[in-house]
Amino acid sequence: MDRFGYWNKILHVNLTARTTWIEEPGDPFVRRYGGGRGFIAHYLLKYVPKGADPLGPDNVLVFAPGVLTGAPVPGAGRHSVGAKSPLTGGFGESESGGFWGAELKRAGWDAVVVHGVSTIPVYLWINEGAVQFRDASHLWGKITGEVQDAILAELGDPRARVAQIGPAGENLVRFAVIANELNEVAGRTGMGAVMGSKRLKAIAVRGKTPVRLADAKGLNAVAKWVSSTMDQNHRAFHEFGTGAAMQGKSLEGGMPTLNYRLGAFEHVAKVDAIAVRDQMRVKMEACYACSVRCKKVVHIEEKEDAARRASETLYQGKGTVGVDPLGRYRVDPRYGGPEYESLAAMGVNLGLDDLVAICKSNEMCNYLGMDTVSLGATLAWAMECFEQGVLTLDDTGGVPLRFRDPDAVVKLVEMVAHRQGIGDLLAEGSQRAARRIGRGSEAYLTTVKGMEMAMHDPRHMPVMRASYLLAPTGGDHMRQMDYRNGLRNQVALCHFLAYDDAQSLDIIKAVTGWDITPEEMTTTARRGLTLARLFNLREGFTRADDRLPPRFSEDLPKHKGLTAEQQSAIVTEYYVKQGWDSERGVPTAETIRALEIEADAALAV
Amino acid sequence: MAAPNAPARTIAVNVTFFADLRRHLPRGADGPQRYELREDATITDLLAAIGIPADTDLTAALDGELAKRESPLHDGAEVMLLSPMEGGA
Repeated sequence: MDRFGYWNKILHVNLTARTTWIEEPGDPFVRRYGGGRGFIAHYLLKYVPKGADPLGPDNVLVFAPGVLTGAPVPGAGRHSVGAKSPLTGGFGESESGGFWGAELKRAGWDAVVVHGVSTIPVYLWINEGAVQFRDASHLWGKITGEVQDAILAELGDPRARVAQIGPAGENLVRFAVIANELNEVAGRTGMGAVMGSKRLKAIAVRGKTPVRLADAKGLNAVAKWVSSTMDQNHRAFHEFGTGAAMQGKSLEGGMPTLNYRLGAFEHVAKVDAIAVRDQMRVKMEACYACSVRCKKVVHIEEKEDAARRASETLYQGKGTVGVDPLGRYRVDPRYGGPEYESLAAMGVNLGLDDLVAICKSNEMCNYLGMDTVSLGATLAWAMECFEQGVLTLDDTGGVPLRFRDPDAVVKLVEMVAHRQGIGDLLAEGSQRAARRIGRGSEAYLTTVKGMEMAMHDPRHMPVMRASYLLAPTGGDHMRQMDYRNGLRNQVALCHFLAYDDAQSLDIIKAVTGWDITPEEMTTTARRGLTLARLFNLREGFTRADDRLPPRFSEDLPKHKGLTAEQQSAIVTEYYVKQGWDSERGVPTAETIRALEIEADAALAV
Repeated sequence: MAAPNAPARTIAVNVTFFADLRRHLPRGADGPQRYELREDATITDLLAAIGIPADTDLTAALDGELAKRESPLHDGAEVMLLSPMEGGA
């Protein structure tokens, strides 16, 4: 039959046995799950035994684009990566942009499921339908830029796309990432550590077959709509990427500052996306097929003459190459630039007004392979502990952990990635570190279910409350109460494109040819959320885990703390909306039947 | 008391647009934009003069402080129009 948008081919790779097999799950499977979280939850329930060690051989690592990935329309460059999370012990999943997901679809695959553990470091080479296991011993320990260069040279194909871990993933840092294009990152929940535990250094992929489309003309009209209405709908992202709203956040009293203790930062204008543009941004880059082009690229030199030369030779005078006034750091433009979460987590929340140092930390996180959000929030926790005397110089091996110390942060990034000194404790993530330390350090955590919250304060932003409380991944800000985010995750449509629900439906129809209704889209999103919930319940999570840490019961100068009653009311409302029982959040039999997930649910006991 | 046919006094304010509110900038323009308004104008009047719908979710700051929509403006006021919500990443 004619298939559009997908191939009905899932690649399974067994690293232990060095074998591969192809699953053809059928059209109803793809339509039911969409991709992304739907696929991931299905495979985690199917293959990961209850109680499995996330860093052990029984975990699986799922690379899941969606049905839209690879279609020639802005926003269709996304994919998700999922596994049991080493940070939370529950459902782990992270979304990424870039080109890798589209290349995988062009290679003829809808997803890759990695099983087992290799005895030596390897990388996979997926060249259209052919799959090779290649020795990666010579790449182990290298940073992401060196690895990408080496792999492309070995394969002799400069157009291959590489998804990889950095040294942090190899060292099982619990918030290690999987990066593609060096600055497109599946950042949250520690998927890089899972990949490192499997000794899988990278997956290179090359595909030459365009994704088949049901209605290319219709899709082209959508693409034209995006570019012709750029000013009205996408101007901020197009001009600045994210981080242009930080001054507003601070004025409103909701800017995470000094471990979420304050809501405003007097120097926020020194470190926002506008400052980045004015001082060190050389260009903006795009993901696959996207005209919004929202990804910052920064370049900083230690000396002014080097910056001037770079500006003339590399950018023809059109980019602003920054200079470190203190002559400390060079920041390589290969690694992109800091988006909002990084500017906040590795900047404002640590009390930093040194934009050069923030850019340096961001670059290092990209070449070492760590999540800037979890790292930044873990550092903020540690700094508050140090301030309060809960952590001392004896604990830190003589390294002071102070807010407002940009150079210390840069050193700590390296220490955490390599688990050196105090870095070894911090590499566990703040919740595990707090449990190890004790001494009341848990009072300073900003984690939910073990994952550090992102940089949007739920005391300031009501829309974030349900997300942090109830996202299956923990302190995740992208799972708000409505279904739009969930659906976009599963079909893989970028959240930054201002498509309304009707346009999203049109895009899905134009790509797949499915006669899909809004109700079906909602059901698909509900299915993904409920499956992820079932996985977490199986792994021992309960309603007690659906709560914010004590920090968020404290008042901010301009916003009240959230009471236990308020949080409980949101949780109950969410449970009921999802069709779960109102007390424990267990999906009801009726909901499981309505979502047609009886077989998956049977694996959740 | 002003003479009955005297022209209304005006004030000039500078407005800086942030984030996606920059879509209200004139094409090709950047930086603060100057608007002339009646001397008793408020933030609400300013938004109307710019063409920003009254129900737009935004934050207004007047001379560096959060301001309500009914806040009166003055000659030389520095207004920031911000939208604090942006997506992930």
